[in-house]
Amino acid sequence: MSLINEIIRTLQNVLVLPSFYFMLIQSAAPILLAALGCAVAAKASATNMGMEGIMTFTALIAVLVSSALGGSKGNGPWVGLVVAIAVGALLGFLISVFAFRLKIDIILVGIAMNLIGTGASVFLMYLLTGDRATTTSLQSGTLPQIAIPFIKDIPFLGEVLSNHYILTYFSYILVFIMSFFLFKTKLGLRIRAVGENENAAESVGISSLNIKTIALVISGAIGGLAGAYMSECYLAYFSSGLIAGRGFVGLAACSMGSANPGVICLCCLAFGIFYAFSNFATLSNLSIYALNALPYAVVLIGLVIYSVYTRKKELKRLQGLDSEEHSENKA
Amino acid sequence: MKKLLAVLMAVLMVLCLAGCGAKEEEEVAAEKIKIAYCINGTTGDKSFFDSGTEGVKWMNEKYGDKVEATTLEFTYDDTTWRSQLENAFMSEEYDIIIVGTYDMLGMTVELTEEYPDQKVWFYDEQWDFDANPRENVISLLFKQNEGSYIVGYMAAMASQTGHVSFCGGMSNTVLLDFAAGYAQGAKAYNPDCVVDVTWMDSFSDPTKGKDVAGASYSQGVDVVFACGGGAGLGVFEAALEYENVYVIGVDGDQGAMWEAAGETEKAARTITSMKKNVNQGFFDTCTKEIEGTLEYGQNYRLGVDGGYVSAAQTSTTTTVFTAEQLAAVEDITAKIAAGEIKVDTAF
Repeated sequence: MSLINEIIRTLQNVLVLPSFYFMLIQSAAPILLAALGCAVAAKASATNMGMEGIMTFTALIAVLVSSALGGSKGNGPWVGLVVAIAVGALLGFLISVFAFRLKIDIILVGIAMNLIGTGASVFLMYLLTGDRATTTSLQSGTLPQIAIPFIKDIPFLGEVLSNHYILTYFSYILVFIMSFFLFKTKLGLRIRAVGENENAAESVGISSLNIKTIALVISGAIGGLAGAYMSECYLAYFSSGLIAGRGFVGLAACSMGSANPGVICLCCLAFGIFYAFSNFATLSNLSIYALNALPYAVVLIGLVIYSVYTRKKELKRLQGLDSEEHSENKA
Repeated sequence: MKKLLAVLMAVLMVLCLAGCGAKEEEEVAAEKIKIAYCINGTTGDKSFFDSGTEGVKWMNEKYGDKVEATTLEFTYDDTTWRSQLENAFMSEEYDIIIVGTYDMLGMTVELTEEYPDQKVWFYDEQWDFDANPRENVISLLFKQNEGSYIVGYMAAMASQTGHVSFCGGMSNTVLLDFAAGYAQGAKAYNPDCVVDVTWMDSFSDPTKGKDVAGASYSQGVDVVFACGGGAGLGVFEAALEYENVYVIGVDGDQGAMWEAAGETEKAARTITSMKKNVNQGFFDTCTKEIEGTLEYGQNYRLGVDGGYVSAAQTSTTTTVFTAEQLAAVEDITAKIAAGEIKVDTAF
C-alpha cells in the first residue's frame, strides 16, 4: 500500500513540472524516428532489423563531418546531418542488396548490420580521434534550437513546446509526412501493395524488388536522421553507449503501431512518458532498477496486448468469412 | 646451385645472430617487474580508467629500467571479463595484475585462490581479508568519502538555492561512499542544505546523465556532483541548458579537461572535481613494491592525507569562490587529513 502511495506522491510531484513534458517530447523523438524508419520497411514486408547499427554509425558520421567543417561556427551540423542521412540510405541499400540480390535472410543481415555498426563506429572513432569512448574533443556542435513565437510566451505550455531542437519538431512533423506518403502517394501505395501481396503486385507490373529496395533506402535515410539527432541534438558528441537500444525500441514501437505512423507516434510518446518519469522519480523511494526497467516493460506489455488483439481480430475475421460461406451455401 | 646454397647459409647465419641478440634482450626484460593493468572498460572515459592508465605511464617513465607495465582493455562487454582476466592469470606473463571495481571482485576472489603465486593489486572496492585471506593480494581503497566531503562542502557554498544533488552511476558501495561524504560535507557548511541522491543506472550512456541531471536542475538543484564515468559526462550537457547552475566533476580534473578540449562553456560550469588520484595510488604502490616495503594480505586506505583524493582547482574555482571561502576549504581539508573531522563512510 505504501508503494502505491509513494507512486501517487511521486506522480503528483512530477506531473506538474513543465520540464517533465519537455523531456518526454525530447526523449520520444529519436525512438519515433527509428520507428518511422522501420515502418516504411515493414510496410514493404522488409524488416529493417539493422536500425540500431545504422543509428550508431550515422551518429558518428554526423559528428565527424560536422567537426571537419568547423562545428557550430559554420554549417557543420547541417552538412553532418545531410551526410548522415546519405550514409543511412546507403546502409539501407546495402541491407537490400544482401537480402534480396544475394538472398541472405533479412533478419540476419540486420543483426550483422547492428554488430558492424557498433564495432565499426568505435574503430573509426579510435582511428580518427584516438579516443575509444567519446568524441568530446571534436567540438562538433549542435543543430539549432527553435523558440516558437507566441507559444513561447504562454506559461507552462511555452516551456513544454518551445525551445526544442529543430529535428525534434521535424520528427513529429514526419509522422504526418509519412502518413501522407504511405497512404496518399503512388509510391506509398506500391510499397503497401508489395507488403500485402508480392505476387499480386508483380502481376500488375510492379517490380517488388525495386520497391523493397526503395523502402529500405528510405528506412535507412530516416535511421540516419535518428542517428544525427542523437549526436547533434540530444548530445553534442558521439559516445559508444549513445544509442543504448533506441533502435530496437523503435522496432518494437513499429510493430506495436502495426507500422501505422499515427499509432507509432502514440506508442513512442508512451515510452517517453515512462522514460521521463524514470528520470524524475530517482528522488523518490521507488526502486531505481524497477524505474529504469519500466519503459522497456511497457514496450513488452504493449507488444503482448497488441498480439493478443490482432489474433482476436484475425479470428473474428475468419469466423466472419466462415459464416459468410455458410450463408452463401444456404443461398 | 652452390651460390644459392651459400646465400642461404649466409641468411641462416644472420638470422641466428639476430636470434641470439633477441634472446639476450629477453633475459634483461625478464628481470623487470611486469605489471598488467586490467580495465573492465576502455580508456577514454576522461576519469577513472584514464587516471589509472596515467599511473601506469608514470611507472614506465620513472622506473623504465625496473618495471614494464601495460594496460589491458577488457571493453564494456561484461560477458568476456571473466575469461579475459583468467587469461591474464593463466598466461603467467605478468608478475603483478592490477584489477579493480565492484564488478570484478567476485571473479578475482576466485582466481587469486586458484593462482596463489600471482600477485594482485585490487583497487576501488573493499576486499574482506577475514573472509578471503590471501597472501598474494593487496587492496587499494580510495577514501572517496573524504574527497567527497570537501566537494560537498564546496557545493553547498556555491549553491544559491540550498539544494544540491549527487548523480551516481550505479548504487554500489563505492558510489554510496561518495554520496555519504558529499551529503555530510554539504550539511557541514549549511545544515539546511537539501542533498538529493540520484542514480543514472549506467556508466556508459551519457543521455541518461543528461536527463537525470536535467530533472534535478529543473527542480531547483543548482549544483550536481556528476559521479558516473562516461554517463556522467552527460551531466555537463544538461548544465548548459540552465542558467547559473554548476557541475562537480569526478576522478580526474574534468574542469581542466574541458578547458584543454576547448569546451570553455563546460569548463565555466565545472567549479571543482573530486580527484581520485588513481595514478598517484598506483605509482606510490609501485614504488613500495620496488623498495620491497609492500606488505601483501592487507588493505591500504588512500585518503586526503597523502593527496590520493583531493578537490581540483581551476580558474572557474577561483572565479566562483572568494579567497576566504577557498581558505575555509583548505582548512577543512587539513582537518580531514589530520583526522579531526571524521567522515561518514558506506563501508
